[in-house]
Amino acid sequence: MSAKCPTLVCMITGESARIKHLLRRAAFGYRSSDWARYASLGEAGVLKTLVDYDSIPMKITDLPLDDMGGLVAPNDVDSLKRYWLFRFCQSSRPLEEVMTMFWHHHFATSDYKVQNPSIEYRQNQLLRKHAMGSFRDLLGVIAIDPAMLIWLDGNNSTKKAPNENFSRELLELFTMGIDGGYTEHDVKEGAKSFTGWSYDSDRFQVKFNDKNFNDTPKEYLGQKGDFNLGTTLDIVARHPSTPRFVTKKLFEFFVHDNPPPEEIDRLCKVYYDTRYSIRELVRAILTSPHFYSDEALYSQIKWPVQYTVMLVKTLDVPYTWIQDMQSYADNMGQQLYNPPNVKGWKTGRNWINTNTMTARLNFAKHAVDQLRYRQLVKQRVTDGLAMAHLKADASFRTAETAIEDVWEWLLPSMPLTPDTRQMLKDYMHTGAPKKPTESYYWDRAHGLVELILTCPEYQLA
Amino acid sequence: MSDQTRREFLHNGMTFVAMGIGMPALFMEAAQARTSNVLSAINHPAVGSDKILVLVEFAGGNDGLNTVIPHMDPAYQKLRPRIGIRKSDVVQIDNKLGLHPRLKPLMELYEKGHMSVVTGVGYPNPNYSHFESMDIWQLADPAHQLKERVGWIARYFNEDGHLKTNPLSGLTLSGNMPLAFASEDIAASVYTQGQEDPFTSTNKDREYQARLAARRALYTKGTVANSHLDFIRKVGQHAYTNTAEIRTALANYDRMANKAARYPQYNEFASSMESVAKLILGGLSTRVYYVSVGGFDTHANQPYQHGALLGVIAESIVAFFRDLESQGRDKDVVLMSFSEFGRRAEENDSAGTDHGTASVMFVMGGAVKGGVHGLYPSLTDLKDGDLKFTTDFRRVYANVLDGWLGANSEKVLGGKYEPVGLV
Repeated sequence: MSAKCPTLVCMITGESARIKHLLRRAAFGYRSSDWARYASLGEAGVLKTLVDYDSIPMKITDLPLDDMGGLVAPNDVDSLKRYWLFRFCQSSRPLEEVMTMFWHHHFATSDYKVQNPSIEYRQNQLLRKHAMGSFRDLLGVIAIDPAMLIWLDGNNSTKKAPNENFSRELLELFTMGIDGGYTEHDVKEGAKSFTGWSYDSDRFQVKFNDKNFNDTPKEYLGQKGDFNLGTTLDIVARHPSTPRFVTKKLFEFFVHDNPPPEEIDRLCKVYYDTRYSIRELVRAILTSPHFYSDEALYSQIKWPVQYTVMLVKTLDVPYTWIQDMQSYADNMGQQLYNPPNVKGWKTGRNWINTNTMTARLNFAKHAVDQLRYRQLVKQRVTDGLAMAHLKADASFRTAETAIEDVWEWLLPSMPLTPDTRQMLKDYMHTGAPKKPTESYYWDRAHGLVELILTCPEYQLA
Repeated sequence: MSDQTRREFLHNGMTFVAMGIGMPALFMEAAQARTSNVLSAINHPAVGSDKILVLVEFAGGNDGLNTVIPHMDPAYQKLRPRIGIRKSDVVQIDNKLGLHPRLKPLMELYEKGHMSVVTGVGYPNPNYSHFESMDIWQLADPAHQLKERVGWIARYFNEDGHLKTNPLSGLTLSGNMPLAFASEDIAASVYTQGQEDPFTSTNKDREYQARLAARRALYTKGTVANSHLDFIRKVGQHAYTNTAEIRTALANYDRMANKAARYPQYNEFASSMESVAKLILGGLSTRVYYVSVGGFDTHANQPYQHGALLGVIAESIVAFFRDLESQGRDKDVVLMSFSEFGRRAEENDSAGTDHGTASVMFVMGGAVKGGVHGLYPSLTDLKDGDLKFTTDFRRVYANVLDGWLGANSEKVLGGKYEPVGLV
């Protein structure tokens, strides 16, 4: 489905608008206090600091694991969700978390079957570690990841009866795609190559058992040989359908739903030229002219995690003030660690239904309320407008300027339609004295911010 | 309460709630002016409340062979030496077939003639991908002939002016919108219990009511057709109007006596079925309800998992029909179960089964013709180790569309299908 703004003309003009677009997509937003640093880095500098994050000190520590492989933190999935959202909000390497989520969506593994938060967290760490590395390496580690071995039944696969589950989803969803040109025969042959590996839940170890490995000669994707897990993954990673499928998914995630064929050709070349480097693919996508095109700007419906994290960062709400942030994301249709099935989440318009919209609106209200109860709204608006180079005090002298400036802070480059402007004005004026003062309008600031954060436009990124 | 008075009551009740109880007059005007099309949307009559369809999705691929078991066939135990159901445990429904022992509660419906079993259901050129095959069932389109991905239930809604414009024509209680409901017209919604209403409140604070009125207005004025924004706006508007209607239906239900059904506790499927019963009995205008239950992808350790699932499903469905029967409504509801595919005839070495083809469907309710319909596929004449289907699932759909919902199945399905004789 095309995701353009056909008559609302969204246009990216100027470097700061481009940086804000980049931060919405690749960092899930930013705090007003971070803006000065981003602005001084310039577009190229921001891209570099986002993509080449390895040199940036990481302030958040991993949850500790004890010797037995169990989490020292409460061993329940909700605590893992909370912790991951905390990382999203606090990390000094925001793209690392975004890419970890992308791979969680791609290699979707779900708690409802695995039922072992400790190894689910281990998978999360694994995805984070390899998020920007070589795609072939990522395949190698995920194929024998304990949660994956349980999730797609590698654990139950035997020499005599290789289980097809992982072999099928590897080709259909992880690498070549359903139309990638593989057959049922390839699924069956691949399954043989993956035998022998299992997770020993008593010893908390993944092990390879020679005796359980199907060592017969195999025929896989047109090649014949004594393949094992490694050589099979080599063949899949090299197959031309794999970069086509994976780069298309990355492009759609970061840019828009209509990747031009020549752009995919270009990205496939990057894939081979850089020995399957995910980091270079992401860099190529985020520097592509398509990324900054009018077709891309505000063309995406925010993922629930993106909506919640961006809102928390924008308002600079301390994470601990938000109660059960994960339960809001759950209600919006994105349960981290628990994607609906191995295909991951259905995105785009699938995020939006009566139930998820209700959850989105309630979350925004909850977040603004945290500031309102503590009388921090004026401070946050002042910071936000200062960041956007708009003068806060001047803004609140009239309803019109307050609306325009808060809109520009929260939805930069998004057109404010006459209808929307009028509705917000009606709110600002309801019950107003004949000559409203600046302080009267400031009393409405929380409502104005809440209305903009709950309006249809704010659902887009 | 007669149907007529119930409808009138609903109609008035909904309007009352939608206008906002205790809203100050000044804001009433603003809210009225800005939400006039919201109110007109809410005024549709409760057309769907007579004949109702409840779709139950068995997600993951239900093993038909261990659900309705050909226990007299010697080939069955040969194919299923480890996970086969013992002949002595099968709940016999005729001299050839029997139910999985955990489905025993369903005999209450079967013996009354309120349950039919369709065997060997599938489609040509089976697809072994969960997602592709589920799409085929949801779109009723095995040959990929549709130009647009509009679900089969949505196509039925689109044929009827009232259903097409009511966002509650289809309602799912399982989180995500199923593809069967998907359409640009959005005649379907998703509901879960317990969320706060972000559009209305009994709080009389003037600023707060002004904020709510503005939010309703922001979701009422659509701008750009076919844009994401327009879509989001419409759905937000539906969230507002639905909440009022659902609140009314639940209040109606709360006033009823004889609520004697015993649903299994602490189970998502059971509580979804209970919610469906409440909404039906409360008179919600929904024509098709959708509930999904997962866990059928039994590649390994099938016996325990499959049995537990079937057990809770059977108990929930029986409770559901008892609930409806207590209010004399069990003849107004048909429940139909389906799954994206069955499983391979031969068990695998992990005490499970891999993706297969033909499976079984259940069609239940006071108005159905009970018994076994369709030929059970041969267990010896397999194709690549899979059962050959004997009944195209579109025949079942066609039967339900024509015989139950009073629709024109030929239009909805794009072809003529011989009815199965279920309703």
